[in-house]
Amino acid sequence: MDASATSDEALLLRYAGGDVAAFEALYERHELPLWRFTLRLCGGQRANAQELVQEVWFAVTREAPRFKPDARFTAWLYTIARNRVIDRHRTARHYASLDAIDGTGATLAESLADPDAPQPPQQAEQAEQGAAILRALETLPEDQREAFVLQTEGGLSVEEIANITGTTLETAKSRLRYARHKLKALLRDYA
Amino acid sequence: MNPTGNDDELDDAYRRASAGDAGRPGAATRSAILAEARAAALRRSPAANDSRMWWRAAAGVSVLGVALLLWRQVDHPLAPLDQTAAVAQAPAPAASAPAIVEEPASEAPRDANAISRAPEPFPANASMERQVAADAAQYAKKPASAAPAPPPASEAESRLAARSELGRSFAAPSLFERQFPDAWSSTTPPRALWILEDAAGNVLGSGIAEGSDWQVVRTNLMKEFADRNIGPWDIITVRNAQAVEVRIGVARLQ
Repeated sequence: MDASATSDEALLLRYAGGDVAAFEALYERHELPLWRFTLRLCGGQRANAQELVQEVWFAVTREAPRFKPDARFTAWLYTIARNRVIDRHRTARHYASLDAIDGTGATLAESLADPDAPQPPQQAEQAEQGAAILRALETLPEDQREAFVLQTEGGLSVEEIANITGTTLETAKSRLRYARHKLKALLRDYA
Repeated sequence: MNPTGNDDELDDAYRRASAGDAGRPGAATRSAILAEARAAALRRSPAANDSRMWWRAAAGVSVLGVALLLWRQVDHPLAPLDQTAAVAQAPAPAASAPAIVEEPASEAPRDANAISRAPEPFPANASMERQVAADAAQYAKKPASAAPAPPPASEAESRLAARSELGRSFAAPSLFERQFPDAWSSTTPPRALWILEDAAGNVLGSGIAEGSDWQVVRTNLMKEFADRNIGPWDIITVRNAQAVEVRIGVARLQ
């Protein structure tokens, strides 16, 4: 099959024309990266992230006919997601969630089926390292964390990050550079 | 692997950690999103557009009919008699009432111009006024039967429509799932559920709105929260995981 026929942009256009299967394919493709992006920007609060990804995808279904195919779908999707997260932060006091989960490591503990069960040393080391990375990420300034997650989860280019965040190319680059530098420093301290 | 080494190693280590920690959105979220995608596609389908066009046309005819009626009743009480002279081809209003229903859309602007250019109407007398009143009464019945307007939205529904622009209604399925897990997954959920929030949006209580009677729920809640006012209900219709529609009323304790 022609690759352009299954590109994100082609799928969205097909959905705008009424092809629901095209939306499902698009959703499958981006569900997890978008979820992780949202979760990281919500400080690991799953309930909030869950509501937000739903809002983002609902917006995609609503706005699909207005999508301009000369733009990249991913950049469009993460722009919507970022705006929703910002809106949510602004109105956070109105949306205080009953089951919000503290993002400082508790979510990782949940994901481990049984933290007391014996693990091979390598797995245990990886899990500890993973937890340390996520904790380190939480300590980054918001704009640096956002740039880093847009690139690692969304796969966006520096130029796209600059466009989405409304900054210059140089600023986006330096945010990424600072983010990585700080993460490495924090991980060295951890080690 | 050493994530403190080069950038790629750091990124890989982060991606592994994130994938292991994040899991995925709940099944209910996924179902709600896919259901909304189907619904949105359906709303955009030509059949739905045809239906909307019909309602718009019907509403337009209603508005014109009402406008003509008001114009005749309030501003130009003697218009029917004058109109028969000014618009020769129009049927006499009193004698041929059904024709009037068809006329407003095409004739109203022309009538208005004719009247504005015409000399002052004849002096009124008692029989003329009675005739005008009879005409008005007859016309008053017609627009409603010729073009039924959709039922007026309640205040809460109007407010909900406004709030949905802010994304509030989109949060409803998650709220639904959290507050009513049984109803969320049931194929026969209650038709209406209520949620009471405090001013900060924290849920204070929730339950089934028996008979969808929001007033009864409010009365019971006011007994429970003596001396506190309870705001109006925002009523949201959402589909549960089984795609069954349920109405959720949300009110705030003030």
